[in-house]
Amino acid sequence: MSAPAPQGRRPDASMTLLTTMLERPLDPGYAAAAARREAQGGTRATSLRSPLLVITSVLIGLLVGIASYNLTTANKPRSQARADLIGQIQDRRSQVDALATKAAALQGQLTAREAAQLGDPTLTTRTRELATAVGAVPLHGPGFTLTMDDAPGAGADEAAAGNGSAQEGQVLAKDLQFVTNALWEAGAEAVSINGKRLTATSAIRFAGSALVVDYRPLTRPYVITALGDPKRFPAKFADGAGGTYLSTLRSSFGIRVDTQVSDDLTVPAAVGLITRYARGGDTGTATPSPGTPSPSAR
Amino acid sequence: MIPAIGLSLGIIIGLLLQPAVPVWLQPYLPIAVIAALDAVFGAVRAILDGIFDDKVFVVSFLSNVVVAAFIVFLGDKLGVGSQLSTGVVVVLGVRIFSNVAAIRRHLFDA
Repeated sequence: MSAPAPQGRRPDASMTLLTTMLERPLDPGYAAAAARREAQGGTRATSLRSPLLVITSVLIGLLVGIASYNLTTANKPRSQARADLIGQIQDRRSQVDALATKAAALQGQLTAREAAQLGDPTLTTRTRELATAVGAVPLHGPGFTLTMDDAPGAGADEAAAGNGSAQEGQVLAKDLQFVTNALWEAGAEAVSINGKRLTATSAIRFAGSALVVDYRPLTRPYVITALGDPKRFPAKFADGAGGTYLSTLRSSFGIRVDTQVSDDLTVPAAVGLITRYARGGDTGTATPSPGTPSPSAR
Repeated sequence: MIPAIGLSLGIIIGLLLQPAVPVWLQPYLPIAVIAALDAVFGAVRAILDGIFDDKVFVVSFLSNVVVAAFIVFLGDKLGVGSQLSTGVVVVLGVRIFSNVAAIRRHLFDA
């Protein structure tokens, strides 16, 4: 400590903010009013029954009551709305499932009637081959299942998941896309992911933090079932681009990959196949005519 | 005694009527309650000290609530809402604690 404090100043004068806050909490107005009243010859304190005081205390009570009611029950309508919405989602989802089963059943009936109608065996065989290739009928046969799951511990960060940003160690849509393409390339005859059959127009996408196949979200783990020639198909896939990609995922990101060869696997039929027609445009016109959408890969 | 009855009466009326506060007013409710509490404890301490004045009490309550709400509002506009309201809450809390300590000394000689 250097020079002595000047006369009449407290050593802690620079802390007046804190000291006044801590040492003089009672409103100085009370002391001043009391002194003034004493000077005028009245009592030091006013009566506790003045109407102004009663009104003010009722007001304060109202404020506290209103605030406590509003602040404590503010969450009820929100959580109730949330529960409502969840109930609606589950209802609709079960409706969609029921309709999908119905559609599959009707599809089966359709195929049976088609066969009965056609009569010509070559035409029936041709239809059946096309249906198989397109994915309109369920198939079963030898093949292998590929189970992919996020790295353990990935996705534990709630904040990042809420942002929709992918984290390291999570299976991305492009991983599934690459693996599926590699399966087709290796000679797969039918591929399904978590029970959803892939067709030529299937889309594997990323929506928020969930993987979506044909607008239906997938839950982890992702089970890819691929049917193909038992002797060549698994080996061709493992040796080709697909196998390399999967081992990179495993070693670099810790994504869990499990392969299991099997003699009899089933893939379901694709739901929601619609027929599209393609008609060649006139030569020289660049714009497609409306009503004739050309088939696209997505 | 009478003010305490008035206080509880107000709380009961508020809980029974259950008026819905408009949404734009809701952020100011907590700070208004703390400011009111500070005024109430200051009044109780003044009563125990023997220098209570109802006009001072009413003015301190109203000005506390208005100033606290204004500071919160200003903080929201300036973008430092949480910091300013933290400061207000800290100061009011310290005042409440000192007043309660003084009341305690009056009541229990402790």
